Amino acid sequence: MNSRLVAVAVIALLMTMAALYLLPSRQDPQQGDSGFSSTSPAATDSAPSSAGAALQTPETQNAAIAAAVREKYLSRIGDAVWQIKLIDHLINLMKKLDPENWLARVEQILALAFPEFVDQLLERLSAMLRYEDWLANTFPFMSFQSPDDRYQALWTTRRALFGEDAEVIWAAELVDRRFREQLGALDDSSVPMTGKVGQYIDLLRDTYGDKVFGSQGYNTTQFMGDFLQLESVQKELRSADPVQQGELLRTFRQQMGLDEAALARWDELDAQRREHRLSGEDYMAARQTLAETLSGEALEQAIQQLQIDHFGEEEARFIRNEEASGVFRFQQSQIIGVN
Amino acid sequence: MSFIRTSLAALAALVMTSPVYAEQAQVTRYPVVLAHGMAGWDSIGGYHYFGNDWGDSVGDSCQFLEINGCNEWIKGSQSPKTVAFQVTSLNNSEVRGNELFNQVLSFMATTGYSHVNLVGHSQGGFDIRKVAHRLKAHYGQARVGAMISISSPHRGTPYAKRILDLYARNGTAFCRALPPNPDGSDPCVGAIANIGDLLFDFATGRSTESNDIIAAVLQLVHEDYDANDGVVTGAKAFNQNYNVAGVASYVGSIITRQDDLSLNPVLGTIHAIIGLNADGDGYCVGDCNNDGAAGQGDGSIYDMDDDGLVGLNSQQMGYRIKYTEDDWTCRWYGCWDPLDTMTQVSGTGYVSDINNPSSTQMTSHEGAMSQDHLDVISIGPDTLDEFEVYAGLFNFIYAKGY
Repeated sequence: MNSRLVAVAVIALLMTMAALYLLPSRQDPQQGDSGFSSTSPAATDSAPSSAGAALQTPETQNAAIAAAVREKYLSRIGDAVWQIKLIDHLINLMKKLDPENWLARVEQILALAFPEFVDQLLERLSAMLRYEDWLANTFPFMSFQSPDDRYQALWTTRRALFGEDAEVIWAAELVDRRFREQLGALDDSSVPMTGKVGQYIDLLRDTYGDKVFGSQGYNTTQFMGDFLQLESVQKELRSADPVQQGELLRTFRQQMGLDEAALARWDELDAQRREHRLSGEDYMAARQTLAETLSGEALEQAIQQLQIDHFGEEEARFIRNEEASGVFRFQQSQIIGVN
Repeated sequence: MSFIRTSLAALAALVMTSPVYAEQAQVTRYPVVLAHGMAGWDSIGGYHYFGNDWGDSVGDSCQFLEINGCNEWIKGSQSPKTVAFQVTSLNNSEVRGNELFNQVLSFMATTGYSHVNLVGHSQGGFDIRKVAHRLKAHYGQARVGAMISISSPHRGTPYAKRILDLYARNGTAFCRALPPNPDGSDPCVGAIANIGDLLFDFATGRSTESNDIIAAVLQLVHEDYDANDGVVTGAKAFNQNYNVAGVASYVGSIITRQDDLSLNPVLGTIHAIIGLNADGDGYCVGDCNNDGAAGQGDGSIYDMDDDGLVGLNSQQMGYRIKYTEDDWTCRWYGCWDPLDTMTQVSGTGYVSDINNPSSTQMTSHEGAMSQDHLDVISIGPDTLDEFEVYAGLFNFIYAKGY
């Protein structure tokens, strides 16, 4: 019993010493006039002493890193995503520590850290390297007939290299894509907006869960924008009078979980945007009239005054800048509830 | 002896069981709006623009999303405070800035936040400046905490001008120099598609209505490219209209440069196609050599003077922010993986007038990040942990008080 304890202690001490002396020491961040300094306990530690130099061999370094990554990844190492993360992490680290032999070192560390998973990890490492090489040197230079073809090529390679695990590794992307496809189908359906709202809420909940709802939800504004930008939804909103429009938007946002304060802010913003758009349409008509009757400096001055009259000094400045660059914001159609 | 054995055992147990600390970034006071660059999307096949090489977004914390692909460097409450909006992929920053402004306003209405932090990559660095100005005009006071650009060509890039010079404009046709297609179709369509494919994939069917590649490229040339086309374009004019004073509490920039051998193959190919390898770390006032960017070269194109698309001398806005990559660290009480740090560089001062930086600000390599233009977003291959980089940036913003 005692001898086992001593053995464990000696191994632990050796690994710790190796780690202490051999891993790159934390470089104190350069302090600017108010630069950030990490709160890590390491931040104030001194650099390793030269006494550790004698232990600075690839083997001891490997052992220290293996011990550290084992502790970090052990509970999740059976998961394809975390295997990828571990390998990615080690590649990045070893390319810096040992640029000449980084690949061999990564393989050695994987074997030391997770002997029970080593075959799987080495296979994963090989797949990752081939995938990254293909992604950098082949994929960008291939020609495709359509974005779908391009996407299929990407997935063909992923499946060839990672097998069924590809769907686990890129799960987030697949979820997003399925969501976009179903959103497109929703746009194509003949259900009126009120019905679509219910279907959209269900789709969001099924895909992302409850976290996307509420004023402080995850990407709630983007998800509301995605729905409101649907052509069929905009068509219905445009055909509604301002009061109906307001009710449709308010109901939708309520169902997205926005609280009363948020709904009130949106009511105000919708009103501002409606007013701005009406002023813009009026401005463009008046501008056209001026252009037909004036020219040169007189026209420029008249337009400038027109801009100020319609939008005030500040906003007129932006509109002047935009027009100077060839942009006429009111020529672009408004997306109701979005801009 | 018994005491020593017990102590050793206790120490061993401590070492073997002590947690591996992986620091997490502090949660920013205001939400962080991430603004993508030219040809970017919030999510495209294979990539999140602000994500890692595996299709995950930097703002997805592990606690919040409970999915595999998540950013363990950020806390759960940072997730809903990290948003990336999609604007038109290819257009100038007057258009893109307006689109982003409207989305930020919508976000503020939804969440009730009074202020935001703005982080823009590449052309996104222009867009966020317009947003900051419009927010100030809208609310009557500045509403931006930190405004930070990454790899932005604030003073133009020679690559943009070379593209315009090669594929010279002819009225509204972009590709005059290209031979007509055998079937009579516009040769520009294929050329533009190829350029887009080389960068990302802009043909996702979203927001394509407003795409205007000419306007987009003109934005990135320092001077007005064509004095006779009836419009005023270019970075210089934009900078005059949307400078940094008074619109944000903190203004900074992360600067990237890379040696040519380590560039992403896509960037190397672009260089080969257009026949240019820029020299972007020399000083002069304005675009003295008419290459499309303010400043000039220092005589060497192999001294890490650009990031493959943007010269070092074009990138500083406000303070320069240095990125320090920290890897595993061990002490007697255990090992941990410290969060990468961002710190403000003191030696290069503050660029308050974007069109007129000092010689030091245009030539110093201090604090510049050794990564190419695409490494800092999701396009690999690279040796960068994008999740950690952005977590480090969030931590920096937090430390600044925003």
